[in-house]
This record gives sequence, C-alpha cells and structure tokens, in this order.
Amino acid sequence: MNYEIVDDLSIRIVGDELFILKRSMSMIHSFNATGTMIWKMLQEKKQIEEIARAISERFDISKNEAEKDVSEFLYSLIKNQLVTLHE
Amino acid sequence: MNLEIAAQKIKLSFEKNDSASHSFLNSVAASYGNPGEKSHDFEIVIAYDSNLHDGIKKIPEGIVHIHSNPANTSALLSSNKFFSRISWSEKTMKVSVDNHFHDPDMLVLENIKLLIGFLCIQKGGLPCHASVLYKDNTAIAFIGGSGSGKSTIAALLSDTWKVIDDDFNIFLPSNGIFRVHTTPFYLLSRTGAKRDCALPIPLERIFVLKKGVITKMSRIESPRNYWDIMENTFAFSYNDYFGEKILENCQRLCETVPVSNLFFAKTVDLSLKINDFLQKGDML
Repeated sequence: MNYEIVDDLSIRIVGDELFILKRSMSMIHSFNATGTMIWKMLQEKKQIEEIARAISERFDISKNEAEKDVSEFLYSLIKNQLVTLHE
Repeated sequence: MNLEIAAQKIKLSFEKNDSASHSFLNSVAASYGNPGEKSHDFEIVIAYDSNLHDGIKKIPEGIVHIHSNPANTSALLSSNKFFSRISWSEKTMKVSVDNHFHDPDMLVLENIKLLIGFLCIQKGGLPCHASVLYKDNTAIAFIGGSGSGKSTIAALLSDTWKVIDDDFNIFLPSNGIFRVHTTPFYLLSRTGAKRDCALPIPLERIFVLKKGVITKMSRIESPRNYWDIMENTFAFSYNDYFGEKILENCQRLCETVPVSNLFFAKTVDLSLKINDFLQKGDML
C-alpha cells in the first residue's frame, strides 16, 4: 500500500503546529505536534510501519496503539484529500 | 471614488489625493498608475458571453497575473462568476460574465474587491473580514464568525470610536507596522456616511469576539491566533503563489499585532474596559 501527498497544498509551520491550505478547496487544516511529526515522515515517504514504530518510541505507547493512531490519522488525511492511496 | 454606470459601460474614477475614502486604492495607483498623473479613470466594459469569455474559460479559477511592466500594466482575475482583464496603462477593465449575470453594480464592486484583495496579499497584507474602529491614531479590529457581534460591538463603542469598515478591511505592513487601509466599500454601501480619517492607521490589536455574561479579555497565544486570523481572511480562490503568500502574511500579522479573546456583555462600561485593556496590556 503506497500513499502520495497531493500537490495543491501550501504548508506553514507555526510554533509546534503545521497549517495546511488545500488550495483547490480553500480549506485550512492544522495538526498538533504529533500530527506534524507524522506528516513530516509521510513527506519523507516512510512506510506506515516505520512511522508507527517512531511514534511508539517517541510517546512510549505500544506498537499496536501507535499503528492504530497512525492509520486513523492517515484515514483523515485521505478523507480530506490531502493524501491519496495506491494499492 | 465615482461610478458612472451607463448600459454595459462603467466609468470608475479615483483621485490620487482623495485618500480619505480609499487609501489603499491610492497606493495601488501610486504603484501601477502612470507617474505624475493625478487621477485614474477606468472604463469598465462588461461583456456577456463574449469571445473573451470563451477564450478565458480554460484559465483555472482563482488565477491572477499582475504584470508590472509600465508599458503593459495589467491584471487578469477570474472567479466562478466572472473573468476580468484590467489594464492600468489602457485604463480599462474588461469584465466577462455569463448570460445569467445582470447586475453591473454588484459586478463592479465584486471585481474591485477581488482585485484589491489580490493586490493586498501581493503587497504582504491580508484582506480580513472584520469590524475595524479607530480613535486618534489607533485602530482596533474585531473578528469572529457570522453573528458573533461585530456590528453590535461597533454600535456599543460608537461613543468613543469610529468605524473604518464593518466588513472588508485591508491590513498592510509598512516599516514593521501593520496599518488599516481604507477602501471605498463601506462608504459606497451607506448613503451619506463620512469618514474623517485620511491616512492608514496603525492596527494596535485584534479582538476575537465571543459572547459572554461578563466582559473579559485574554491574550491568544500562537498558534491559535494564526488559526483565528486565517479563518477570518477573505477566502478568494488560491493559486500556488497566493496560497503561500496568504500563509506567510498571516504569520507576519500574528507576530506583529497581538490577538486577544474578547468575551463581551452589553454593558455601558465596555468602552472603558477596552480602553483600560489597551493601556494596561494583557493583565486584565
């Protein structure tokens, strides 16, 4: 399963948070520090398992819990058309 | 600014020195008009379903090109309602719309508003949905969603503050300070309304309006202030360039002008409390 960040985004980091403007829909999204960390790893094209492992270590939570959080986050990105998924 | 409307041609004139009503258009004239010229007359031609419109349909919504070559100063604007080609050197604005659009007054104002918004962003500022009041050389802005009380607070503070505009405001930086520039829209929409402030006025504080049982103010820290301002920036369509610029300009505004929550109750001492807050800072 591969993902791709769409290309009609303008991005700005303000403090710990990341603001994303989806230009074609005139929508703004913001992520907290955890979301920002995941987003940066998505930009680096890291695999979901790798991202979950990093989140699990950083926040001292189980790998299962981290995978669930990352999947939920990814699902919200897909739903908001910030990321597309390819089989 | 004067508007003469006849059939499908509209003449728009504004004087360089007529800054009391629209200081921002003045600065646009200074940037793009012919040097030494005192007035700028634009002929606005509205074309219904013309060749111009057909040719332009291919351009994505929200695109704007502004050429600064003095020999060919022009701007192209497009929205879902119209397409405009503005030429400063030829002093024309050609507007193309589809056959269903028959309100020239509204069309001209919408075009000019769109143009001013784009130019404002290009110059490092933000067009904001706000109620802005001024006193002496100080301006304060009130932002908030529909029904949050922007017009109410303007009325409540009318004993000591005057309105610059209760809807469309231009915040533009110069020398490290954001100033509120006046535009024609507020005066055009109110017969007999007058404004006695001439120059852009420094923006001292932005208040985010919230209804409350008592009046209370508190500073909004980053990045919440960024979110509040972005939410109240006029959402024109974006291309790559303007998307980046809006985010950048919003950050600069947040770093320059303090943003505070204002929970307000309709009490007689509201004006006093705001004055006190502005003097004492964030201690209340």
